[in-house]
Formats: sequence, C-alpha cells, structure tokens
Amino acid sequence: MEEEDIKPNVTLVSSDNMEYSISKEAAMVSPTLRVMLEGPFKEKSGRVELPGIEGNVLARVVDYLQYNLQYKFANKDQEDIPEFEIPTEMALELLLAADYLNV
Amino acid sequence: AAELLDRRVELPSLQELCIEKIGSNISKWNDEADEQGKQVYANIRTVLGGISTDNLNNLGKALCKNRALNDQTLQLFLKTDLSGLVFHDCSRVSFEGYKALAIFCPHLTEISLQMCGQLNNEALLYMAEKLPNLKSVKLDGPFLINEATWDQFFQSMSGRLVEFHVSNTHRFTDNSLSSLLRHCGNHLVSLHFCRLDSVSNYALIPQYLQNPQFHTLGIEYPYNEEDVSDMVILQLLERVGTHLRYLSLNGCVELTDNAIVNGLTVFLQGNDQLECLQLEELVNITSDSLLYFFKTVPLPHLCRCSLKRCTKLTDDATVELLLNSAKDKLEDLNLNSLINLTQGTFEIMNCPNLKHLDASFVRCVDDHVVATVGSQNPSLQLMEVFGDNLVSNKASIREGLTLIGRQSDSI
Repeated sequence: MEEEDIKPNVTLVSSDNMEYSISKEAAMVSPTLRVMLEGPFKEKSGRVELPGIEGNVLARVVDYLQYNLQYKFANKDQEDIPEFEIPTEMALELLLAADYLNV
Repeated sequence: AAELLDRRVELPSLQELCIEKIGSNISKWNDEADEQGKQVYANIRTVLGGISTDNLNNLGKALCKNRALNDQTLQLFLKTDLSGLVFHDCSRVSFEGYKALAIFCPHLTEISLQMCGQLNNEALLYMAEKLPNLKSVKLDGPFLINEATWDQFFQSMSGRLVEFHVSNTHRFTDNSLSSLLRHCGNHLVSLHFCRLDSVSNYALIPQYLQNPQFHTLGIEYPYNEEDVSDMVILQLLERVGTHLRYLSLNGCVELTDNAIVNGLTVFLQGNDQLECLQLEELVNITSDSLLYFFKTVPLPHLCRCSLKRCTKLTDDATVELLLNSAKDKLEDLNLNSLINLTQGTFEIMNCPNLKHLDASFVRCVDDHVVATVGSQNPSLQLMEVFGDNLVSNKASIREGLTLIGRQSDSI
C-alpha cells in the first residue's frame, strides 16, 4: 500500500481500529467517502472512521479502491486488466461494505 | 455511447463482483448437493463468511438495489430465524423461490414483497399454509393471483391477518375485497390499497373494520375516481378515525372540502396520534377546508405531511399548518406544485425538526426564500427546488443543507 505520491493521504479506520492509509484520489472512488471528505464534516481532516466495517474486509475494500482507480480508464485492448479476486468467505460482508460505500 | 465507441468497458463495481461470487458459489453448491442437500442453506452463509440476522435485511436491500435477488441468492435467506422480510424488488424470484421461502423460513410473521410479478396462485396459498405465524402481508404487483385464490387465501388467513397492503394488480376485484373484509376485516389494523383497477366498491370497507386498534389506512389512485367519494371517506373515518396513525388518500381526486370539513375535522378530533397525512393530487380541495382542519385539530405527532399538487391551495392552508402544533414534530413536508403559494408561507416556516422540504414548482421560491428557510429550520438537510427558476446560483445555502433541482446546477 506504499505509494510514492505527494498527494494527500486519507486514513480509513475499521471497527476493530485497524488503520489503512490510501491516497485521497483512491478514496474518492467511493461516492460515500467523497461526500464525507468534501462535506462540512470532521472527516475533512482525512481520518474516516467506519465502525460498520471490520479490518480484514476494509483491507479488501481499500484494494478495490486502488484497483478501480488504476484501471478505470484503461483501454481493454491495450492493457490486460487483471480480475479482482473476492475471497469466498468474505463475500457477504464485503457486499454490505460495498453497498455502504456505494462502490 | 462515446465510451462504447472508445471500447472502454466500465470496471465492474465491487458490489457486482461480490454478488457474482455469491451467486457462483451457491450454484456450485447446488450442483454438488444431492437430494439431501436441502440442509445446506445455513452452510452457504458460513462458507460466504456468515452474517448476522440483523444484517440479513440489509443484505436483501443491497441485492434488490443491484437487481440481483433471484432464486439463487434467495437461498441466503432460507433456514434462518428471521421474522420479518422486506424485498424491494422480487421481479426475478420465481414461484419456486416463494415456495422455498415458505418452507425454510417458518418463523416469518411479516412479509413485504414488492414487484412480485411471478408470485402465482400455488405459491401464495403455500405461504398461507406453511407460515403459521404470518400476520402481515404486503404485496406489490401480484397480478398472477386470481379471484378464486384471493378468496381461498383470505379464508385460510382468517383470524391471523392483521396487516394487508396490495397495489398494482387488476385481478384483485370487488369479490376479493369482499372476501378480505368478511374473513379478516374484524382483525385488521392496517389496510392499504393503491392502483387496484378492478375494485370499485370501496363503500364496502367501513362496515367491516371492527378492530379498535386500527391505525393505518391508505386508499390511493382508485380506477374510477367517483368510487371514492366524500361519503365513503366520511364513513371510514367515523369508524377508524380516532386511532389513526397513518392516513393516505393520494389521488382520490373526487374528494371535496366536504371530506375535510365533515370527515377529517370531525373524526380526527381528539386523535393525537396521527404521524403521517398524505393528501396528494386532491385538486378539488380548497384552502378554506384545510385552514379549518388545521385550526381545529391539533396534530402534535405529525411528522410527515404531503399536500403535493393540491393546486387550489393558497397560503391560508399552509400557514395554518405551520401554526398548528404539528410544526414541532414535522420532519417531512411536501408542497410540490402549490403554485398559488407566496413567500408568506416560507417566512413563517419555523420547524425545529424539519429535515426534508419539497418546494418544487412553487414559483415564488427564490434566493431569499432559500436563505430564510435555511436559517429558520435548523435541522433541514434537503430542499427540493425543481422548476423554481428564481433560485439562482447566487442563493446562499446554509451549511449542511443540500439544495437539489436548481437550474444553474444542471450538468
């Protein structure tokens, strides 16, 4: 998850207090997070607490946000877009988290 | 289209990926399972990570929103101790799915199936038979159910059914209505009819509603407007008015001031429980009657009120509503298309709990009104101003308030 960018980072905090740092650009993939980050809320500071999502699930969500950002504008003919793997045992919880974050 | 030409294919959303995963696992499991395999439903959920009963209805919501509820994904809900189930889009659930639901969710007491077009006679009767605790049934679009089946259903639900909502079917007829009332009428506490094209005998309803706890009444968009006359409403309210918490008469355009003055005002007198009042599209109602109603009857618990498209209304009615004790509780107010309103209404709008205001197509709404309403109603989160062309991009919008429908915001 290390990125050598200079853009501001956002920290996502899971229900079990695991912290994940991602670029603001990636976080903005989620309309829910975008409203939180742009609106007049305390999340504007770049720290977003997500008490409804567990750490291991959030880790997959973060992966997806980065995956989406990376391949959103990729041209299917020129680049191979890898499939995004969903761990079977996490599918239900991940769906609920994805629904909440609208991604 | 431009994206298609560029051959840029949208990335699948995370929700789609999850649903695909869930779906493929369920079908894999189904293929592997033998005849005994019916016991596996609980295992499916374990394999997919498990989910609490509280979250099951959220899961249902997420699936419906993605139009992904079908016989496969329905299996996630089987073998649970769920007592209430709400599906907002069942269009892909087949009658086999409903039968499975009836067998494997024996604890269901409340069921709400919207867009349940594939629900057939057999499946409905099956549910009545297999779900001993079923007492609340809300169906939207059950157009395969015929008259004979409705009759049989109400017979078998006699003594159990307390809530019945049905909408969007032409096969629910006067005979079905009569059967419902005869078999279940004296237990009902909640009744809602909307867009039933084969029902005309609404006058039958009042004499059968016997339960003193009756609290929810909705009669919306009758096929022949004259079937829901002032007289019908007067008789209904006389019977159940005192304990109503929810009243909706949307689209009963034949109603006149008589229904308000001699119905609502008289029979809701002393009812201090009304929480929701919807009188949309009652084009014959004038301000005089509503003014009298809001002046005479205090509505301290009213939190939702819609007067949408009652086009004859003027400030008199809305101002009186805003002076009624309802104003302290009111959360949702719909004044859509009340073209005769002036800024006077908005100047005295002072509701501490108001969260959502629809002021679309009210021509007097301008930048000044937006600012005033925002500052006088501290809880307001959402204001709709579609078609209000005096609201410009210079309007000052209070922090925390979202304005939608402004012309200058387009694209």
